Amino acid sequence: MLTGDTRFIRLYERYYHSILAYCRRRTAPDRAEDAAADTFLTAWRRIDDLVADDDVLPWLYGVAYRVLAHQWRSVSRRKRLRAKLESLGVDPGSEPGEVVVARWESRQVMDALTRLNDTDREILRLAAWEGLSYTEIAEALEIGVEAVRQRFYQARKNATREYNRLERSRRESPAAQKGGVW
Amino acid sequence: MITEERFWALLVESNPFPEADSHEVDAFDITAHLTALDERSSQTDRKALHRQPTTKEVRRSKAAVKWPAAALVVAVAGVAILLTSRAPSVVQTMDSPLEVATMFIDAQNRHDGATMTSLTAADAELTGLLVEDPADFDLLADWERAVGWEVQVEECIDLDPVADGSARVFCTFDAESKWNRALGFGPIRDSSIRFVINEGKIHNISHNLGSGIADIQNEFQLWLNNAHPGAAVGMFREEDRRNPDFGIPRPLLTPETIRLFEQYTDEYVAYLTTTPES
Repeated sequence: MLTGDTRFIRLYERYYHSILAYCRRRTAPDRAEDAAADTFLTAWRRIDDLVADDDVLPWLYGVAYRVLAHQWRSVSRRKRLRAKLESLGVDPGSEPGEVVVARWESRQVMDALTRLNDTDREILRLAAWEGLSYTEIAEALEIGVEAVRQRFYQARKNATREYNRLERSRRESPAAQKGGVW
Repeated sequence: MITEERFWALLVESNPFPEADSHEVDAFDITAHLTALDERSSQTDRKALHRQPTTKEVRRSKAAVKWPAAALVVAVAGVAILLTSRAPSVVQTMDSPLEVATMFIDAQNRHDGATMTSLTAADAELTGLLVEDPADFDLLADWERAVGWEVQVEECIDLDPVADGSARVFCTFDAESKWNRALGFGPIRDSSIRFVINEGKIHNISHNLGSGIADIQNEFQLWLNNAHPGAAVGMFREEDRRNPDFGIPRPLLTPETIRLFEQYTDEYVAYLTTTPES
């Protein structure tokens, strides 16, 4: 029988890469490391209640998801402040460490995702980037498997529609018509 | 126009961090972490971790996070120089980060907003709390008194300092209020609060309540909407209602709304705890 600490170490060694990667896909590197650390501290505290090691990753994703959701509030406030400064003609400097997406198609995919609600967006990302099954997504987000299945198809449909809407706007923009670089 | 299948392929390709296994994680110092855990195993009774610590009893442990050993040595040396170069009276009055964090939580449980403010830098960043400015801690304290908010600390951990020398303290806790006690619900579990502390002052607080708060607040709001139609509009943040990311609208704290929260909470508790006459 493993002690809690021994088990924690094993979980940590096995899953830290995955959790840090999950966080880095969703936030800036410095915030990602904090979020990953907070996620494992929660796991440490709950170690006696956790399911088998092979099944614990979706739960860890769920903890990381909630940790990042709370980070979002301060980010949102900072963005409002930046917008205010910009409206006053003050250069607020660069926002450190937002997730950088190079290709315009990828940026447009991200923009389309932001138009979904939080849960639908996370369902798509967990499936596309973490490769989770419906059952694992349901466990991470603490909702039913059938709800995940239905929301996945609806979310993908809505995100595609938003992508196409953005694409039309882009093509009709004056910059695009002049052949400018977007 | 693209199809859903093409969108899906683009989404998969858009993964901003695709190589999880190749990521360098040496920043997270597992060796130090294992050492800390060994010390914990040999020196502490694991069950003792689950009782509420007092200021003096808070456990001092290190869950080493992203701090190379060399930098740690430099930091320790820097602290030693700092300590030896300062006047003794200053050294003696400087509370440790764990003590500062615990004093803050103790003050919160006493509903002592003035002490909470005095422990916090004026420009501190607050995340996940009902106020965004440390100067408003008196409002938070008054609201928490009104709804009988009480925090039971489970454990506080002193993390290794970050590059600028700030200490980080992570505490896990359960929380209760008059709302969940009257409902017969247990405490809100899986909650945590993280402090960034520098030179005895709190510079950042990140507060993360367990998911049970949503059910408990929703029950109160359902009752409020029935008992006092329209009252909730002024008592909760309208911007949260329009933003699905918040999950539940946060209470809006003003002297007037706090008075209403107190009045309606007392009515709500009476409603829940009074046995109807047969």
